[in-house]
Amino acid sequence: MKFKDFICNEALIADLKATTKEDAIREMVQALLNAGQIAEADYEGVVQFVLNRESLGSTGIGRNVAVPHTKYQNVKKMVGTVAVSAAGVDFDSLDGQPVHVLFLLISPPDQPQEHLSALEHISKQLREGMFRSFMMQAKSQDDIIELLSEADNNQYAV
Amino acid sequence: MKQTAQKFTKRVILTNEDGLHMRPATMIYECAAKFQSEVELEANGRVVGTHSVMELLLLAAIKGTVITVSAEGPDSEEAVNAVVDLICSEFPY
Repeated sequence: MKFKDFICNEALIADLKATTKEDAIREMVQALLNAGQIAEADYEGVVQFVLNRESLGSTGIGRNVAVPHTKYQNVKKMVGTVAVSAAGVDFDSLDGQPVHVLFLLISPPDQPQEHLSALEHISKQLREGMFRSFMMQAKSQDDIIELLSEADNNQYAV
Repeated sequence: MKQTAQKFTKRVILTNEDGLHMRPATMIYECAAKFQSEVELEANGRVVGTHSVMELLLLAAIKGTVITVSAEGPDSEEAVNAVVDLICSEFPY
């Protein structure tokens, strides 16, 4: 599993405006909507599913990273996007730190293995300090695209 | 009283439908953090620590995966049993 298999480049956000968890999720789901990855009719449903998942426990897994996600029945193929926040988002993270890099994942309900593989790839790359640091400093969609591509080519973690 | 570090290990099969996704990984991380011993999980030849959710997600363990839980430290048996019980409980939440 590589980033190119599920990250929608057109939905990448290099300058996330939101500073709260809900606003950040809304901004990222809106980016997927704008990129044609989810239907307008599904926007509020996806947002609520992601928020419901957060209510079980934060997906702010530490080291300034969060991976909000949900299963959603109207999605036929796993899709995701990345947002970078210079100011940081209060995400109730496990380590109490603000989040600067967010990966949003929306998966079909019947593909748990795909979801696990995506989480594995995200974790494998983001545990590398250099990749994380470069992501936090990304200033444009092109910066993020380049970093994701480099990661897919095993430049940071093998 | 001086306590000696002891290694304790148990094997368990992951039975929850969606495998070791983020919520179970977070629950294992929180459970293991309550103990002094260093807890490790091994699956499919890969060994990870429990001090970070990112580490645990590297296992990408699906339903049916055999997981070896081990710990070394003064409360290694209690730590392993707690994590094994959690895995056997299929992570209720």
